[in-house]
Amino acid sequence: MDNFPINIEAEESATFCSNCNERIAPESRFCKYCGAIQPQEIGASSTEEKWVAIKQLGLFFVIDAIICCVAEFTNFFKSFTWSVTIDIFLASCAVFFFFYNWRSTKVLLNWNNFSIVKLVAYCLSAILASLTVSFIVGWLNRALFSKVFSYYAFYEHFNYGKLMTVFFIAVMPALFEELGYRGFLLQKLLQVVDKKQAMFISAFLFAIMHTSFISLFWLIPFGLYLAYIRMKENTLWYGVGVHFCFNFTVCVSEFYRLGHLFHH
Amino acid sequence: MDLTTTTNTRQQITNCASCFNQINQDDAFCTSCGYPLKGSEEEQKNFIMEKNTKEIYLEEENRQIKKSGYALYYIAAATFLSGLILYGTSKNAEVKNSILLINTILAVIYAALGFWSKKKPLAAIISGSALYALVFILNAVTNPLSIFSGIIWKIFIVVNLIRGIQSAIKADKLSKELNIG
Repeated sequence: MDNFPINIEAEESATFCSNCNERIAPESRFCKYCGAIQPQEIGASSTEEKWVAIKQLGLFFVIDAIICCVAEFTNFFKSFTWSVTIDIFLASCAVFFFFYNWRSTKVLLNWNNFSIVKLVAYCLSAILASLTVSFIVGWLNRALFSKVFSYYAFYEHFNYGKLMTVFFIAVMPALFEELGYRGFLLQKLLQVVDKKQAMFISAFLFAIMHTSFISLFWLIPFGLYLAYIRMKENTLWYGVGVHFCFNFTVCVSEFYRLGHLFHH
Repeated sequence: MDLTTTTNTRQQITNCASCFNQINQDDAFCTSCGYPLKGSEEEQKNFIMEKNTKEIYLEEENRQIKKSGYALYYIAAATFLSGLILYGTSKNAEVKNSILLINTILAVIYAALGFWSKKKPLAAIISGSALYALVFILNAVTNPLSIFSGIIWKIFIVVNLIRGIQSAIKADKLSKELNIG
């Protein structure tokens, strides 16, 4: 009984029991020495921990939803000052939840495998996607509502109108929506569900938060794309780049359309 | 079939008496389900009893998950219905079309989520709850009095969605312990 044949292959691909620390085969669901169940996913949590995680997610979502709905659908906060204030509220909310969970989210701020080629490739894909989406949405808006929507119109009359548009439409959302949705939300979801479900839920919540039905058809895929990039590259920064390029292209297209691209 | 004799023979048993998966005769516990292969009769009986209890709990949780799926279908129907009613009673031609369209799309999304709750209950119910919360907040912000209309149904829906999430979490854990799915 003591002369176990030494199986070299088994030794090289082994894991250790989470309970008794004996060496066991990686695919075992239960330890053959002590019978303890082996956690299948990384950072598996108990049911209570999962419920707490869901409550935190819910809180983040509800706060964002209240801010967005109040901003969009009431007439109280339509001035420029209020618009900036609302943006700051949303950004602060994302930052707060991200840093409240610093231990699990901080790894996403690293950029270990920085590759200029990857970054350029991702950004080009974003620009392409943005042009396609703008084209389709523009057509839909004209066909269904016979009107054209403009982000630039809000900032046009300011001295640095173009710069402001780029800041509020491209820079801020890229940073803070990534922090909030791919940073905090997706990370929290991974503690509760598996990878694919987490990606979908984060994309779905990101999409519906924009409270625009027309845009759901591209917001959900875009959210999935951003979630996929975060999962694949294990960093937020490529996603920030993609999100920025996407929104920036929208801005530039508007400047171009209004003939304001090279002069005011 | 006497389960205990199967393990005591130790001659040609290659399958666990509890989960019937293949086992290694040298192992103290089954690596698929944790059954105490070399345990006493009492330990083995207790394991089987616990396993049966867990299966019953799992059934209960799955029943709640089903109820939450129905809640999502109910929301879908109610949304579509109110779309129809608002379409019929609205005087504004532009608005009535978009209201019907929006409510129909919403209803389709809820129904799709209800359908998805059979395969991936946690993801479907979380998504459905988020959408429901968003729509509720939107209505509350634009028309605060609407918060209280149909409040009984709303409470019923919210309770079932919350219970659905909790049940889906527990069902997940039980399935893993029983090594199902």
